[in-house]
Amino acid sequence: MRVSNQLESILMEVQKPARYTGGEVNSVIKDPSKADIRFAFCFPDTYEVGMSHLGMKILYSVLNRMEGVWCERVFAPWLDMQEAMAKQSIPLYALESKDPLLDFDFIGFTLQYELSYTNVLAMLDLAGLPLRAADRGEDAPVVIAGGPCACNPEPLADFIDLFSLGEGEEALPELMELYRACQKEGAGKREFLRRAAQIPGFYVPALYDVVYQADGTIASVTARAGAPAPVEKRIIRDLDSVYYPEAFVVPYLDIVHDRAVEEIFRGCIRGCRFCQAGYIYRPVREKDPETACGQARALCEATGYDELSLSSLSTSDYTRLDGLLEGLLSWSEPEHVSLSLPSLRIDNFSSVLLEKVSRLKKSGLTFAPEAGTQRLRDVINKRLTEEDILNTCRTAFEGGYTSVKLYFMVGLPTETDEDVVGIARLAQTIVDLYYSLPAKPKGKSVQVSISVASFVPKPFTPFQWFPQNTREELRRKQRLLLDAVTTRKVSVSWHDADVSELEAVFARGDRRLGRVIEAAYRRGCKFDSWDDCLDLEKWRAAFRENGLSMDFYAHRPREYNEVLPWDLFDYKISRAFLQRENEKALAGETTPHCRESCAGCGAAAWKEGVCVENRQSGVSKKRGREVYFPSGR
Amino acid sequence: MLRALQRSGLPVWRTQGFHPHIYCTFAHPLSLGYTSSYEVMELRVTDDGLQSSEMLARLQKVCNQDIFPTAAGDAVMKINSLAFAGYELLICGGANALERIQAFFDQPSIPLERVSKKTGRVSRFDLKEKMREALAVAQGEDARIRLILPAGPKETVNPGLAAGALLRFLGREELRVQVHRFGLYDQEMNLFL
Repeated sequence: MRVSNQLESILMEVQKPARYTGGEVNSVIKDPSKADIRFAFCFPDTYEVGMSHLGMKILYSVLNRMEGVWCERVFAPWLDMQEAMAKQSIPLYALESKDPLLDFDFIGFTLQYELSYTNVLAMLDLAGLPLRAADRGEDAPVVIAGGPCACNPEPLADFIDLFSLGEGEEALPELMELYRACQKEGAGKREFLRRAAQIPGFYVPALYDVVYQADGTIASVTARAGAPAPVEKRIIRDLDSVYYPEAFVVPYLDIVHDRAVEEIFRGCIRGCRFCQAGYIYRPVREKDPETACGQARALCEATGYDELSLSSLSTSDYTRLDGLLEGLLSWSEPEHVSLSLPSLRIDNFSSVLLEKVSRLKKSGLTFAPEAGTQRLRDVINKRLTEEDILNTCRTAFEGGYTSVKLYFMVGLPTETDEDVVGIARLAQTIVDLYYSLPAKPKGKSVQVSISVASFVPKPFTPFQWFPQNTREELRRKQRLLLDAVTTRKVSVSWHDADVSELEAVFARGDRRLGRVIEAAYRRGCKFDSWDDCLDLEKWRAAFRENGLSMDFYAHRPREYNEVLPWDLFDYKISRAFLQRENEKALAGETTPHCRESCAGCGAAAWKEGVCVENRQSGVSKKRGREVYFPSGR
Repeated sequence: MLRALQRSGLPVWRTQGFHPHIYCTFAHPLSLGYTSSYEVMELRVTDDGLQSSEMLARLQKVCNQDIFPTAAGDAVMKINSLAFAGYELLICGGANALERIQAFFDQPSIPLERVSKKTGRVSRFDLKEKMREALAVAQGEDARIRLILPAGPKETVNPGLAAGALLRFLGREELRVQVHRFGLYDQEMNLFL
């Protein structure tokens, strides 16, 4: 029986059946008889989460533009649907064709966060595939994975045939052409993978042997069959010429980010030492405002979205933001499209920008000081003074805002109790500032919301060698902060310490963790990033069963000379630079951002973007800090 | 549908509040899981010269085949004059129970309970008094039932309630029921326009 017929009998038994039906506007339907490559693009979380992900939208369109390639979407069915599918023996299927995943040539996963790993296994299992790559035959689909977590893919090395490192818009089509050539020649999967490993940006874990020392650290990694070492990530050199989707699939149900999204640049100039994205997406490459404006307009017209969000790691660092906003507002206002600007930096949020934001959809103001004291902000290289924070809050309050949301972290390297209490003190200072302003909104109270995450050390950051605080320590610091807040005008919310600990384990994990992930999945772990699904007891049992400890991965300081699982991967961020930054962090020294001076991270090897901008071209003073506006682009 | 209207570029009227949005009303929103061949959506346009045929063509151009506009015209009736809806219930594999199905609808009274979504309060009513028409025919292995039930601002009876009671009467609660709406009517059973 076809999956589509079977589905009708179960859809009314599950929550949100529109997650499982497909048929949305702009979804791509092709004639399967004319598609020689079928690609199932899997997001290992629910439809609402996956459909919000820009990378998936981009690669879905990139692949579907190719003649003879049909890319379809697959999301992790929620628990009720998994149960219903199992009862009716319905295999995991793709939304467009409703064909089971076993009919596809490729099954591709995007790895956005570590706690989705058990869902990768669940989806392979629901598809009817053996979990381990070694157990899948020559005829089984090729299982590929990419995304930010692929910068250390080792915990999933046992399950995935090949990983895509870095940006995929150009690499994936090259891989499709290789596959097509192999099909023509009659070369099997093993040979395809051997050749795929020769394409820059692809890593085939089966071609590398890892040897461990008695203490559990890595002794050596050896490449076989001519596989490269290191394996280099891929980047898109020119964001103006690379394809960007003209249309997004428009969902029938509310998703997390239900709006048009225009990416304006990749990378970040800042170099905050805790932030993995700030390093692995280097160098900063901007899109021309005209390109961005035209793409955004086409997207809104094709989707009917009346909200447009700009996407980047730090919107206000876009060098031509004023011009871009003017361009966007020239058509968005008459066409009733509202704009939103996420990821604004607190130190370059000007009254001019506020005036523009006021013409946009008025949502809350959110900033990320990350740490409560100047000392700790210098350690993490946030390069933000208390004066910056207060000036911005003053601008916002005088502009009519009565609430601000501030993101902080606890458990940062070198953190003391004074730093933790400093978060509450800073929030109180903002409250006091509000009441001291004659121009504050009349008769309204202020609300300062503090959101506190637990620090997770990540690969390819200067903090990659640091231990994470234990859960007990994180909880003690949370209590300390709560006790330090003395007014209802300041509210505090937390990220769960259990989740952060697991994240820390898998972010810096090695191949041996594959056994643990499989054991946890067999014990019933799925949707671990969902608070109501995470079962840490099952995870602990899975670690015990495999003779491994979470402490080894999360709470152990690493020596500079230790071989790290991700040393095999070349993200053009040199270890020497990361070590220098680590040492500067311990000394409380900051590093200027990329537009001020080059810190020699290694990204200049790409010879692109900010690394080749003329830093001397223009200087302006802004609230006592130099901000450089390069010209000549 | 709001996104389809936005895609169409039609000169639709928007609310005048702080966050203006397209004014658009569905006469009687369809329940989840039901299909329909007759739904009515009311909106306002700011260009009086816009022909209905052009409006329809522009909307059809941007709509998915699964939600496809079939006609456009000036609103004739007010939403509050809506009184009935016509449904077809397809009881999958129910052809062999056709006589019992008709017997269910031919009972002198069919007591049912419904729970208010707002208050959670349970109320009892007689389906027999509410329904206008119930006719069952065989269609292959399935049974197709045509049913007219109250639907409007004054009173609505969900056909799912009738279907549930029918399956319990038959002792066949495992049977799958597909509900299709084929018409909306006023008090005099004129098609709602």
